[in-house]
Amino acid sequence: MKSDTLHLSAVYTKMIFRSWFQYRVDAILRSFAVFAREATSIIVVYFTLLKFDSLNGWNIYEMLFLFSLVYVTYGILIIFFTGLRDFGSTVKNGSFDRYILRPRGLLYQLIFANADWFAAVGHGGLGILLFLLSAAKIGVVWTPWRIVYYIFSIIGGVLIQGAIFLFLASLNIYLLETNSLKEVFYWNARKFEGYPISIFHKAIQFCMTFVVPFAFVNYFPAQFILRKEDMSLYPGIFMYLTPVLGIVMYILAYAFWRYSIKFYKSSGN
Amino acid sequence: MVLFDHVWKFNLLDVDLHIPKGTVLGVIGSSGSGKTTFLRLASGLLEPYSGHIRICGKDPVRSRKEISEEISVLFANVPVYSDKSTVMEGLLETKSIYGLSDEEFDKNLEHVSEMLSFRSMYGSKPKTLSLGQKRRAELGMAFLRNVSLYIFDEPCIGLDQNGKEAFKKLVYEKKEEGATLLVSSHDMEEIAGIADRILVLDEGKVFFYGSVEELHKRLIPMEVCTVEYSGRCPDISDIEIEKLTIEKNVMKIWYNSNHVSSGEVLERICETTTVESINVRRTGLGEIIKTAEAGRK
Repeated sequence: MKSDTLHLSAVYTKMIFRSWFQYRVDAILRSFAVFAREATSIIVVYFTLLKFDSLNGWNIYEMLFLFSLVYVTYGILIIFFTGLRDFGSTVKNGSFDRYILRPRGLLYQLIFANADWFAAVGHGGLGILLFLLSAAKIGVVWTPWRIVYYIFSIIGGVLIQGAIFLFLASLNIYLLETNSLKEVFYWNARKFEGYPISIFHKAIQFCMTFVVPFAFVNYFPAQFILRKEDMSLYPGIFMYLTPVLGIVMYILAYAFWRYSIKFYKSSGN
Repeated sequence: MVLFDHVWKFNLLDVDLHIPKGTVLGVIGSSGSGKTTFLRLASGLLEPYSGHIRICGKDPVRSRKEISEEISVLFANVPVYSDKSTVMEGLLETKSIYGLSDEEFDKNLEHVSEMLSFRSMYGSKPKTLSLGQKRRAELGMAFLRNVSLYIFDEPCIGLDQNGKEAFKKLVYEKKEEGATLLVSSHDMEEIAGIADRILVLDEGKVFFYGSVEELHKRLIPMEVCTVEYSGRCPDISDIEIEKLTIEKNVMKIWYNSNHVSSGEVLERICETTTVESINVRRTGLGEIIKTAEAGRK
């Protein structure tokens, strides 16, 4: 019998939305809680930045535009990559073995069975709101080319972060505990992400560009649209690299994942 | 159907055996003997260090997707249902993953839920169920599909007597349909009741592999005959026995069935006394294994 991948994706999505409707208030509150938690930190940043005219040439709305890219990409990211973010617990509780025993791709199952739509609404909603608040005030003419590049940058930004999750998930196969690594290489690095990287020390700029390339998630794509003066500190080509970098990083992370899965089967968990 | 060709993995040492199609194999052994490793290898969850494994002629690791269509497994430490979904949602997920038709799904589910009495749990999330209820729902999932090979690691943990009976019946049904079943358990008597072949693992080595009959014959072919008699005490002095006890007018005789048959013993007793009742019992499988292991050590 031929199994239908689309049908299975629909089954997973239906299951998630069924529980959404079953526990509607709970679902709305969960999404709102995520939105409120993240919005609070933005409000704190907003009031702090009101004290400054600009930060290295970036005004408050331009920085909200940077934040909007962080939240929009993360909102999409957790629809597709929550299973990889939480991969450690999936291995520990034996669920990963359940996926291995099924006639489906492992990544496919991890992605579709674990999509976190509720948090995605919270993060993505905040991202869209920040975009709407900032886009009109940053003096950008939204030409078709800019819109297309903006969309490709978002896809690239999602892939860059997805590749980081995939790489850390693969490491989970070798190391018992990767939460601390995730804390350092993702969550802590992400704290710098809302600001123009040019305001930081060179070492942090280097890390944000070449080690955990969050700068390509929002700073360089934003530079493509805003063309701020501090872009002169970096090669101009960086503004165009996000979609390509996303694809390359994801392919490399995927190759590492495939290699690690073989190791998993030879070592058990 | 299942071939282990000089397989080494973890504590399993040079396992070399073939399990024919339609066999119910009982895998027994003490904790740490390698039962779960053996079953995980057969399911494709593990890859051997050396040697080969073939399931339906295919490597279960390299042909993961094809093999997983052919097998259904239940391991103690691999959750069958996701914590987030209800039992029915889990069953529907399986229906979709394996592409079961509506007709096949409804028919099989009706049957297994009837046998295992888990229909009332359809709307529950597995974490809200008791151990026994959860195990019924898990077995229901494992028997939902018609496949060539079923693998069960300690399937009866948490099950009450009715649940164990239902499991046995389902095993017989699948065997009748031509499926092969591998079942591990620490309860040797339970295994002896359903298996037609036994694999005894001891510290990773194959201690015994063959039929239950062979196991009795080869290891400790001991039988116990209990006779209640009236009249004079039976004279069995010319029969080779291991042990004899007499209490009031009940005689208990232990003998090696390789040396003397139960027919000979009964004939001799009936010749010399009036028998009120008689019972012949084989030594339990658990007792055999324990005695054999103790003897070897």
